[in-house]
Amino acid sequence: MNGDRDAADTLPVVTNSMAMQLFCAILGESALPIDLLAARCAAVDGAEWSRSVLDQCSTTPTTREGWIAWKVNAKMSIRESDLRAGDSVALGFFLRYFGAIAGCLALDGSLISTIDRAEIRRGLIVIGPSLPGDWRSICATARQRIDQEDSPRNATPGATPGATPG
Amino acid sequence: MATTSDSPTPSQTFPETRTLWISEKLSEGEAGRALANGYVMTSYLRPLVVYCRALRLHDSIRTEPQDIVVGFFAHRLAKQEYLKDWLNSGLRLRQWLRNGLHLYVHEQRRENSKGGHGSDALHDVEATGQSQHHEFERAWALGALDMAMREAIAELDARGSRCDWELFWSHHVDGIPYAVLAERRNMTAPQAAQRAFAVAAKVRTALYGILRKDGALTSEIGLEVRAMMEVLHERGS
Repeated sequence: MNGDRDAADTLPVVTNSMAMQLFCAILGESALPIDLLAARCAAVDGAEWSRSVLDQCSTTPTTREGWIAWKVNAKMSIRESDLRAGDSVALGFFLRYFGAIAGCLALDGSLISTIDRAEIRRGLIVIGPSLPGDWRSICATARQRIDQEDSPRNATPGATPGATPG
Repeated sequence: MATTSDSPTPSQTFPETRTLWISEKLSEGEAGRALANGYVMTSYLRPLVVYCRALRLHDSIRTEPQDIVVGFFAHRLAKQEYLKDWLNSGLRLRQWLRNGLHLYVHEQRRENSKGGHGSDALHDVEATGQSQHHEFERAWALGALDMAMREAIAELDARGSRCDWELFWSHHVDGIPYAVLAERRNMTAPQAAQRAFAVAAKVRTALYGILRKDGALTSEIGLEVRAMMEVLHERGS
């Protein structure tokens, strides 16, 4: 960008991925890990980065227990302070953690996290489309599962929204 | 003068008003109303054109989407009560305008057909797919972000600090580490981070102002920004 020109000349058309990063910058300290991860995945090298992070993992699980083990392994490696600071390594582990939650949701509809359902759904929307193809499909299926669970005809009288196994 | 920590703040004493800015402008007479109208036209033209095009509202009255929206503004904003009615609606301004555009197109159809064969506007609103709704919200989100950035740049320009904008953009959008940017600019990495942080604060202030004008309460703004992020990826159901 050329600093000598007028604002109107220098501002490029903001794409979705640019906007994700700008919104995350605007949120500043109140940005949540899902916001930070969404911005990282939307970056210029985001697709390459997420692929390399997920490719480092062993074969994707095919059972609920397998996804839980994935999640536990990823969670143990996350340092909260690094994650809050947007550290790329911490975000990589958080991506694996989030991928395990999405994977299990897609597998059998169970939510293996205490993170609020609405927040998981938001993550599937803002992170899922930036991931490599097979993971994009997993996130899309996971979102369908959540939407089916949350649809009014499946509502259980007296159920506590967001009450999920830890 | 120092206040005690248990003194009620104004926001604790009085509930926050949703629509302060436009309400104030409308209370300032014709000059204020012109400012409010100008703001509405500048801020909402593009999202409404996108929405009009997505819904193919223009097909039935054979007019370009931009001309329809300009006609809608000219017709509705000429009425003194139009924005006052919004203040009492409890809707976000963008929702009010979107609904208003539907009704306007319906009126135009009726006028064109003369026989009253136009479809029911409220039925149209109900039949509107999520994807058109998301297109409108996406255009609004990108437009609001664009306005906020321009406002921040204008403020930086006025202070001769445009280079700070480049720093902010290079780090947050181009992904260049502060250490690299700092070396290029002969400063330390913490200094570069501090400057970019200050620019982010300016964009944040500008964006929050735009959201407040749309009718969001301060307490709702974090959710609003996250909803804006969400809608960028939302493709409808």
